[in-house]
Amino acid sequence: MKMTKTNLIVCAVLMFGATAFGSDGKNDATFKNVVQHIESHYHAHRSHGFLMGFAGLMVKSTQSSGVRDMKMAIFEDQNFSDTGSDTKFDEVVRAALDHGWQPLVQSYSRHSGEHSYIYAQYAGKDMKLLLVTLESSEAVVMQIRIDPDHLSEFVNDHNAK
Amino acid sequence: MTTINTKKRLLVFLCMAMGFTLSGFGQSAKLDLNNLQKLNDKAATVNDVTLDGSMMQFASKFMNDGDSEEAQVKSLIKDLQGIYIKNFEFEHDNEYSPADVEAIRSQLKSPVWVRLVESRSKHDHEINEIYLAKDGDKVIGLAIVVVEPRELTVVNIVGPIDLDKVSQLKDQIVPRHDKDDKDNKDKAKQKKGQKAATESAHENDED
Repeated sequence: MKMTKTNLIVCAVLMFGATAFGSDGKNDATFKNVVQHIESHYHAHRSHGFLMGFAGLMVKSTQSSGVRDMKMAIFEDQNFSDTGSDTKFDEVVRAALDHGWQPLVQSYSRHSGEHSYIYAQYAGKDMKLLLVTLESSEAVVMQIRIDPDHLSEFVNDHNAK
Repeated sequence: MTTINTKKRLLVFLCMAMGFTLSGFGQSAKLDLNNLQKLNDKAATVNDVTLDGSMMQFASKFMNDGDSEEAQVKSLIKDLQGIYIKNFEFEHDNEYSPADVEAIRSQLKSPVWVRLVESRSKHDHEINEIYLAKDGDKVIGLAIVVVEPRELTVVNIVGPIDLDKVSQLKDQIVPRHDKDDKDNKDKAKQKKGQKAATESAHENDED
């Protein structure tokens, strides 16, 4: 088969895509798995889905505050009261360890059914944070990628003001 | 040839000995808390914080050098290699075994670890202990163990800790009591002065 110009461009785009999004896709697995678990196990629906998507797009395009990427799923006014019997939730979140995430904070209360997790991961000079909270009536799953130097400059500038 | 081999062997032996010593030194202030992992299923509330050296550096980036308190905290944590906290709250008494605590205490032995504080309450069945890990005069780690019938907390700070800086920071963060005392004293003085002035005015009136 003769390599035409179009084939070459398609190959280049595919290779670029695999390089650019390959690692992110792997690391996003935890975010997707946790969100999917909440949706399927509790039959919950995301709130402000469009708004969160738009916010993520804005963050990605501006990056002015040092936040390079943001994914967020909010579940409001849902019934998460039976988290005690959901033994798989912990497993799904802890699977983050297999994807290179390091646990920073893990908190669980059987009484209130509240789960909170903060995981971190280095991505070059950037830092990725995964935050998961599950309460009796709401849940938040958030993944952000930040440039620590840029963000600290932003925070210090705003502190000075 | 034999001399070279012997030298090599000696070198390898020295390196190995140094490696063991250094690795032993490195582990000395970091406690192995893995045995507490099994309490996750038994406890009603679990709080687990794991901040290694790189995370501490990351957190310190967000501290403002212009703020004296934040700058001091930053200088305190800049050389720390980690902060590890495990806290378990149970619904009933004695849901964890004394062996779980003993596994931690057995690591807090001399010559590295020195017990600084031990407080026992027979009434509450509570034991609080603070240990320092020392390398000569330098403090290279800290451990806090709080044992209650329904709660167990272990805090492990790894890395050099400048106790003078901690003390200075404590004075800066907790000056309110002193300030309140001073304010109260000032108020008391003012009241006393006012009372004396009123009394002397009454005496003058009577005269």
